[in-house]
Amino acid sequence: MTAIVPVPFFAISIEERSGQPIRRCYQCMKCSGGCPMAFAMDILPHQVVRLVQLGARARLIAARTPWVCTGCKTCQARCPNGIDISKVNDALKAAATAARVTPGDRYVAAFHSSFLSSVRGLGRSYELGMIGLYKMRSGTYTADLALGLAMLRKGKLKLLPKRIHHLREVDRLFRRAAGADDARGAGAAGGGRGGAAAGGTGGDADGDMGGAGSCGAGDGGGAMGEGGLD
Amino acid sequence: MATPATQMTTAATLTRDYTYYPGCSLHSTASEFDESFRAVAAALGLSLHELDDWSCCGATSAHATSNFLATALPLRNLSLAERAGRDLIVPCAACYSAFRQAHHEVATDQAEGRRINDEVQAATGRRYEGKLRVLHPLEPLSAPEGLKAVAAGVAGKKPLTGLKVATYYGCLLQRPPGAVAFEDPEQPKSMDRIMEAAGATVVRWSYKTECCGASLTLTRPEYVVQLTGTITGAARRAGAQAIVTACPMCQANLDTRQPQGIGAAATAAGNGGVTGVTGAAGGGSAEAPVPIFYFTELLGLALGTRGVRSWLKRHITDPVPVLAAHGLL
Ligand code: SF4
Ligand code: SF4
Ligand code: SF4
Ligand code: SF4
Repeated sequence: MTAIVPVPFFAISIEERSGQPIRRCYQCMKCSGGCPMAFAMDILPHQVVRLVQLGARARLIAARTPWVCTGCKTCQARCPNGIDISKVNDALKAAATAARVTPGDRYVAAFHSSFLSSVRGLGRSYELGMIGLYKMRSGTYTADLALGLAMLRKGKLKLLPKRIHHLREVDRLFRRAAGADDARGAGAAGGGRGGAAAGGTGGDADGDMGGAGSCGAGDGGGAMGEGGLD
Repeated sequence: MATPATQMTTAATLTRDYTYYPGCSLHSTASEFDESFRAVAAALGLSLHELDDWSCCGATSAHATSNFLATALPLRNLSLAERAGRDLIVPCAACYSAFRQAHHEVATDQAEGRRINDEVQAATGRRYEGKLRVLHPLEPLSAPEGLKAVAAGVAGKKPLTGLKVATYYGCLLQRPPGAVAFEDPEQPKSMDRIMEAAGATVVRWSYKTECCGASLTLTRPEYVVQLTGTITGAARRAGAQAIVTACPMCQANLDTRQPQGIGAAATAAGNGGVTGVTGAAGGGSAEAPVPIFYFTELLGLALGTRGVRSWLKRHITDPVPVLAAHGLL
C-alpha cells in the first residue's frame, strides 16, 4: 500500500454526503465480521471507515470495495455507532465518478448506468433492453448465455417493454437529480464538480455511474448473469 | 387440487382492500410471485388494487448513484398511493425497503426528506404527506388473524404436512432496522409462522438474513454463485427439502445459481471464489439442489388455488418431484 496523503475536508464531505457519523467509529470491526462481501473487497468495511477518517481520498476512490458492496446493510444493523457503511460506499462511488477515475469495478458501474437508463426511458426497468445496453457498455457478450436462454424460454424475460403514462414526471425527477446530488456532496467530489458530477445521473444517463446491487436486478439481472441476449 | 379460490370469512384485519405495488420484478422475472400473491389474496379475502401508473422504485442502482433518486422515485409512487387512501402492500423486498426508507424520511420530517419532497412536488404536482401505511404481505399474514385465516383455509385442502422448509428472508426485508424492520431483524419469524400455519415443518438454520449478492448476479456471477452456494448448502444440511423466499431477487439468485454452487463446491471443495459457469444441474455431484419457492406459491398450493402448476413451470430447479413425493401435486 502506498503512503496515505490526507486530503483536507475529505472526511467531512463524505460524512455529509453519506449522512453517517463516521467520526464515531472506534474500529470494533463488527461490520467487517458480518459483511457477506468481505471476500471480494480490497479494503474491508472497518478499514473504509478508518481511511475516510484519515482523509485518504486517492486510495478510497480507486478502491473496489464501494462497487462490490451489495447494500445489504448488515453492517448498519450491527454497528454500535449506527454507521451505515453502504451509504459511505455510495458516497465514495459518487466521489469516484465525479473525479472521473476508473471505477473500481467497471462491470458494476456499467450495470447501474444501464439500469437507470431503462428507468429513465420507460419509467420502469426493462430487463432485455437493460441487459443489452449493459453488455454493450461492459463488453461482455457470452457469459451465462445458456442460463439467459433458459430464462427466455420459461417466460421470465418479457420481449416488449412497457412504458408508464406520465413518463415526464420521472424524466423531470432525473433532471433534478443532477443538481440536487451535486449540491449535497459538492466537497466529496474533490476537484470535479459539474459535468457528470456527483450523482452521475444527470445528463443523458450515459457514462459510468456508481454502484453495487441489492435488488437492482430483481428485474434484470434477476437471474440473468450476463447472457441471454446474443 | 385446483379447487376454485373460495372467498373465506376471515377476521376484520384481513378482509380489506390494499393498494398493490408490484414493481418491475413481479411484472417480469417474478411473474409467478405476482400471480401466486394475487391467488392467495383472493383465497383469503383480500382485495388488491394495482397502483395506477406506478414507476420503478430505482432499486439499488438509484441508491448506488444518486441520493436524490433513491428517495424521489419511491416518493412519486407513495404520493400516488396516498391519494388512493388504502394501505400499500409491496411484496418485493427491495421495493418494500426503498419505500419504507423514503416514507421514514418524510414521516419523521428529516430535512433531506422535506427537501426532496419539495422537488417531487415541483416535478409531479404531488407531495407525499407521510400518512400511508406501507406493508409487506408477510406482515398481515403473520398477524394472529392472518395465521388463523391461513390455517382455516388450508384445512381440507392441501396442508403442507411433512414438507421441511427453510425460510429465507434475505437482507433487505428487515433493514435498516429503524425504518424498515417489522420484526427482529436478526431472527425474523413471520414467514416461519405462516409456513407452520400452512402445515409445513420449519427447520432451524443460520442464514435466514444473509445477503445473496443481489444484482451482482449480472455483473459478477462468480460472487453470487459463492454466496448462494453457502446459503443453499446450509439449508440442505439443516434438512430442508425446499427453501421459501419473500423476495424476487432472492428467489431468482438462489434458483438460478444453486446448480453452479453445487458444481463449484464439488470441483473446488473450497472457496476459490472465481469459477466461470460450471456444470449443469446436479451434474452427478453428491448433493441434489432443492427447489426455491415464493411463500405465496406454497400458500397457494396449500389453499388449493388455481394456477399452481403454471407457476412451478417457470422455476429453474424443478420443484415438482419434492411436491409429488409429499402428495401435494
Ligand atoms: S461496526 Fe461501526 S464502529 Fe465498529 S468498526 Fe464498523 S463502523 Fe466502526
Ligand atoms: S452493506 Fe456493504 S459493507 Fe455493509 S455489510 Fe453489506 S456488503 Fe458489507
Ligand atoms: S426494487 Fe426492483 S423490482 Fe422493485 S421496483 Fe425497484 S427495480 Fe423494480
Ligand atoms: S437477499 Fe439478496 S435479493 Fe434478497 S433482499 Fe438481500 S440482496 Fe436483495
